[in-house]
Amino acid sequence: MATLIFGLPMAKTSKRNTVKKGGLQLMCSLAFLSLLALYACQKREETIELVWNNQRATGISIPKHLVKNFSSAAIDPSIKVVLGNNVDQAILGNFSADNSKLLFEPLIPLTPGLTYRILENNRSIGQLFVPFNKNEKAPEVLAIYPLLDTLPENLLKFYIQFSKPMRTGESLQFIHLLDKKGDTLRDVFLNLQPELWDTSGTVLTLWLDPGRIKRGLTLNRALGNPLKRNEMYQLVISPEWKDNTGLKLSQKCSKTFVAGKRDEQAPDIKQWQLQLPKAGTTASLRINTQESLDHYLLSESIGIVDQNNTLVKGKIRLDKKDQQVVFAPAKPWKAQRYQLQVDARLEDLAGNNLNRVFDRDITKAKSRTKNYYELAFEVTP
Amino acid sequence: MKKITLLVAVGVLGMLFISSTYQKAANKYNFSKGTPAVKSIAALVFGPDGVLFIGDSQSSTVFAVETKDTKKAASAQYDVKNIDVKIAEALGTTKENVSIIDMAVNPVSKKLYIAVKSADGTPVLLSLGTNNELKAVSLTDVNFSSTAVNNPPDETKKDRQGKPLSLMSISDMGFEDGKLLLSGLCNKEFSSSFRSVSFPFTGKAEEEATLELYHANHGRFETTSPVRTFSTTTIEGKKYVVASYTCTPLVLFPMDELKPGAHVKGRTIAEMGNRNTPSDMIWLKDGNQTFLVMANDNRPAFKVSHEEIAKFQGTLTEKVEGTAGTNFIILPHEKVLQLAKLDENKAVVIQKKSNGDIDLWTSDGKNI
Repeated sequence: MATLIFGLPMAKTSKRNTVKKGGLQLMCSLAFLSLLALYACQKREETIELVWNNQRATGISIPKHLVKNFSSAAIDPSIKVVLGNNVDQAILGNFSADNSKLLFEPLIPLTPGLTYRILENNRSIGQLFVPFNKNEKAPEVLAIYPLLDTLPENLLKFYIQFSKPMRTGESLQFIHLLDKKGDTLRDVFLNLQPELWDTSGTVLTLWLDPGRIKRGLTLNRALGNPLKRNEMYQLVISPEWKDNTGLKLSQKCSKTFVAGKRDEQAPDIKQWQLQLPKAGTTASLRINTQESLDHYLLSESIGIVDQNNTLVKGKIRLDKKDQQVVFAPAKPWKAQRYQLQVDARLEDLAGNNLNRVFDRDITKAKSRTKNYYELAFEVTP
Repeated sequence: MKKITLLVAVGVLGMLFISSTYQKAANKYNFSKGTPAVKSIAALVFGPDGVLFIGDSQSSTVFAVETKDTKKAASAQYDVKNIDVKIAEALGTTKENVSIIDMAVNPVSKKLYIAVKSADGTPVLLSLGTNNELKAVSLTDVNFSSTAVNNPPDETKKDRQGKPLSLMSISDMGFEDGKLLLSGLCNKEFSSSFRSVSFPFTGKAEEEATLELYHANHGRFETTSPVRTFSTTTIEGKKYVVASYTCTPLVLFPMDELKPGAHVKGRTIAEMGNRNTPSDMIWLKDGNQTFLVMANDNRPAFKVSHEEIAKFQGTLTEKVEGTAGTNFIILPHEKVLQLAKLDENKAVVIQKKSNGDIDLWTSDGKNI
């Protein structure tokens, strides 16, 4: 090993003293190596380093020997972290100390691509650059809902599902609706702040401007529906959109669709068709809803109870572009009567729910106030 | 000896009295000490005694935090050019990596509190002192309480797999008559959720009211729609919520109808132009009159006098061209992003200027 490091191959010799000399040399080399390793270790501990948490630079570790006034450094305003050459503005955050180092934790993670400096009494004691994480994968668009290629002209919303949490508050800079000529349509989406993201930060709800869909409103009369029947459209998501770690989308993503006829009917579960399983099996119950319904609400708003009104445990998945619900029970079906229960808040693609249509004509339709609707079915041997 | 015993007894009693009153003050709002797990800040509003309500959309929770910022001040003057750059510098980043989400003035100390979000989603609470210096507001080891706003405390509102239904994003909050009022937008269903919660929070269902607000469009189509921003007012002794919508600007709802599960129909009193989302509304005095001042994302700010609102008895039923209903005054300030009441006459404003700069300034009480 010594020979490899120092590049001094040890000659083989038959003389004893040469062997002794060789042994001494080896020992010296090993001792020197150990010292070097120790020095290297110490050196590693002694540099200013970034502290990473969940692939974010959440702190700066400053070794004791670099700080003159270490004992009071954690509470001493003479130490500060600044961005680049902006020496006047101390970055807001907390200092804490242990026996060997001072830890600075800023209020927000340090930004990749920027350089930070540590000053003590305005004298620089070190600086560091925050690198981009090379192992991090670029975010992708996993799905755009609704999945159908023909959507009602009074479509209320899109859901866009990403592989990672995206930067929020700027979605409308990167999402556009194009007409068949490829021109961007303006004022189509509702500009909401805060935007509507799910708890994981990966699913965005994007509303078409309800003011333009709702009949009778100024905006509807002035600009008309955002979508016109029989026209072709393309929803485009720009690859310039970054995720919350600063990485751009892996590629441009789009969905082409045609606007179909207006949907002015509340979903009616009596029209749903059930493909019934046999008793004693764990075959899935398939529920054909006859129309595409809201992707997220559909999987959340359906439940099945047995004749004792006990919830049947199982798993729900959606099929046929959100026009079919597949329920796989955890235990075999019994030969008995079951009830399918559907939460009244379930909406179709135009925002009509089980109780009311999106904009109710009070001269005609009546709204209902039920919490859920039921549909009975019988499982037989 | 007797004298000494008596003195000691008085002393002990005194100590007990002091400690019990201290205990009472600390627990007046059922607070406990700790670090609230704030995941995001969507809205801020002050309650009594320097209690700050933090609306957290991501965890669908409102936190009530004791700021201990209770030193009285008459007024204040704030003026920070390029506030977005200043905030970014204080956080050690560049302006494109921060967004200003909301702000609120502590009515007692007049200190300004600003909610900021970084590009990675980290929420930050800052304060701006009268010296225009930004400081971090620590939420570590504070007295606080919280209430969930995601679902009513009713088990039937859970989905069949036991997961809570849709997430409610908090769009605005207010505090009136010991009640926290909040409007929300749901990320799944298109509904109007408006909630009133008694403070101190008890967690009891009867202390909360969730209701759906409806408004009629021109007498024919009735819809429910999420409230963007709201305020409260009194007209002829009756209290009202003045709400502005994602699509219809100004609607009045009687507050005495805000009962659990109620279907409350509002009266549309103005349509103030299209392609616009209102972001904030506050009441300010100018001379003998009180005005409702509204900030808009795509139109100049405007104000409506209380007198005009009270006078407009009708509901918009006829076909409207452009704007209609209550008369209002267009103010010479476009792109007002944030508006917070500072005192009876003045507001703190964050505005995007025509050159793209974002400035924070204090109104002179005339135009805003």
